[in-house]
Amino acid sequence: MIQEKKEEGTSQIVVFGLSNEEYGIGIAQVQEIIRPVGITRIPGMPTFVEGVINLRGKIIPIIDLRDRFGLTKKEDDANTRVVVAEVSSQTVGLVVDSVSEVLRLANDAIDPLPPTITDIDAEYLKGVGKMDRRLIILLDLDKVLTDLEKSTLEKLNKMAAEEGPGATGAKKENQAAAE
Amino acid sequence: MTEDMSRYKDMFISEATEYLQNLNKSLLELEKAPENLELLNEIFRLAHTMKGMAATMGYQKITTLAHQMEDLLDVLRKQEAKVTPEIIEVLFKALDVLEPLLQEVASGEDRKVDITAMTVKLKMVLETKPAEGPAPAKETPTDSTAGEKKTVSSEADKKKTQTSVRINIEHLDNLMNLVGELVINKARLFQIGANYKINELNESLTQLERITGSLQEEVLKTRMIPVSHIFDRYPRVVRDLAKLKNKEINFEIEGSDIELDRMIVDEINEPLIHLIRNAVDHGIEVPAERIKNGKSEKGNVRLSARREKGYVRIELTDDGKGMDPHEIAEKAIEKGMLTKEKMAAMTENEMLMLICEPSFSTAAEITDISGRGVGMDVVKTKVEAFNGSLTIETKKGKGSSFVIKLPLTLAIIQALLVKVIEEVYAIPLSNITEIISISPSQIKTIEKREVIRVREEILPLVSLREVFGLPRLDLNTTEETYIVEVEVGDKRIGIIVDSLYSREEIVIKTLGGILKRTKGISGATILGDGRVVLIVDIAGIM
Repeated sequence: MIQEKKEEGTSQIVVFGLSNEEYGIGIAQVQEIIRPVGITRIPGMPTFVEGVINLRGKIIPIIDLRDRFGLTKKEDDANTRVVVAEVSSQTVGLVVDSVSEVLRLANDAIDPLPPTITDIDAEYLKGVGKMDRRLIILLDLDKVLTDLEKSTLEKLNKMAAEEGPGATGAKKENQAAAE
Repeated sequence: MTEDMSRYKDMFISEATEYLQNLNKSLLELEKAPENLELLNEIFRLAHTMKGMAATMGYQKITTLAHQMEDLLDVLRKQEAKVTPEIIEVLFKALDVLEPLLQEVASGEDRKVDITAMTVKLKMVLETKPAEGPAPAKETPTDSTAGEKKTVSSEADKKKTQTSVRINIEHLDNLMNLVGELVINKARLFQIGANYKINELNESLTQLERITGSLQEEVLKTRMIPVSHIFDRYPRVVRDLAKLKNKEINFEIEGSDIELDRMIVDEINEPLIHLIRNAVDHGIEVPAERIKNGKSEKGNVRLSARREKGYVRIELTDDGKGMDPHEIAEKAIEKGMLTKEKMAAMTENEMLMLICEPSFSTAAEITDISGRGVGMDVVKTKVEAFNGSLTIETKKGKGSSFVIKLPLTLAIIQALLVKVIEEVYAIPLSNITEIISISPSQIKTIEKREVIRVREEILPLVSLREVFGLPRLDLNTTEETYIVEVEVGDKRIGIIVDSLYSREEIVIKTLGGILKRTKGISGATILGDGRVVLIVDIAGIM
């Protein structure tokens, strides 16, 4: 199910919070966790692309998963983190409300069938991990990212088609963001 | 193929390609001087080495074909038969078969390239000719004799190869990236040194600056290759096409030792071939017409490269029939690309540039040579993609000249950093022609487009705020604002920015993945303080 090395049938999961729910991704995909500083906005991009940052000489895009999944957005605070993940040879930063811990989950504690406990589409989920009384929703990052690329392209094409040159659609959104 | 061998495949391909190119070049020279024995020896040696290499690698077809060529060449160099135009033609054809054979090897799949017809031709060309001398199809040039009879030039070549190493381009790219990072970190250290006023640090930083500067220069040099890498193929292109079209052409190349970034050289090949084909096919007239017009029977095409402050200027000139801007414009109207009213407002240069619009072709008939593949629009797009420019000069009846200007390298450039509201953007310095300070009230509007008058000329404006979706500038403010006048090819616009920030040397990083389709942005860079700054795609916002 989860790609990282399995020690006696367990998986290590990085657990993070997104609008009052707990999500997790396999530790093998997580490169590091940083604070969201120095984000440069990229004009004309869909709103879920927050911008880019400089990660030790590498320029990586910062994605707001809350925006992408239509979850309630929280103002950045002291707990806000960026989970830097490597997905299909691309490095991206994912903005999350908080990062709580790294858990070792027994594989039989992972329910492959995602229940309807979240607003996120089931296709982006790998399953649900149960630990004590907590439920940790496991994200399929590869799927999330392929979809992100696709929807970015779609949005850009749509903007181009609707507005012709000049993409005013993005303009309005960005204008709101800038004010 | 064994795994061991496949490791050498890439090396074989790159070396064989080089040999093929040299063969083409020498054969062209031989065509002009069929008596030149030294050249014949050189060609023989090339074919022989090619055969040897292919045999070692076990590429049967290449070995056989090269062997067959070698046999023929051996007879010629022993002066047992004369070099005739037919023989040269056959040899050229053989090279044309070798090329797909190499591609076959490179791709690793059997593309069913057939060599039997060619080998027969190579054999027959001597026999069918009623021999001018004794022409027995001599079979065995033994390897040992070939080995002994090394010409002077081959030894000189040896010396040259010993001082160079073949490196995978990937390593060079990595090296370039690392140097880029070094430059960024150096800038960061400088900032710290300046902030805290640490003298000792600043002193050693000056030293560091010198070293990184030299390092950067050296690494950049490793990525540079002479344009001869592609230029050397063109005489053959011109020759074949001229023959096909029954034209006589004197093709000259100048400055093929000029060096450019490897990537640019590779990418510029296709557009150049297109321009050359155009010149031969559409530019130069047939001999009869040339004589009628009081020109020399032979047409002249000249390709030259030369350096020009941070740029390489590649120029292709022909003394053919030239173009008439008005005829081009008429044609554009015919095609519905243009209205009469619009034409009236156009300058001759603008009319000329119409040929770079997609789907425009001035050839009365579309031939298989210049009518297919890349059009002028692709030439222009490709050149501009590298921050270069294309300009055309032409005189009806006298000839045309296409000038391509390209930056020396893509990786590190000088840029002007500008500010709009709180955001900083980089504009490549090479595009900037002038910076003007104005008050917003000087901005006028013509047909909904903002313009400004600069020395009696109207300069169309683009607001960087607007392009990047920021609140518009209040035209009634008295605060000073700046116009950065930029130029791409023959197009000029003024970019309205709030303020100027600084001038800096920046390392260009391309944006990939999710960010690959950004509009108006060609890449990004990292400043000394670690901030990411986006680079404005000038051609894209025009």
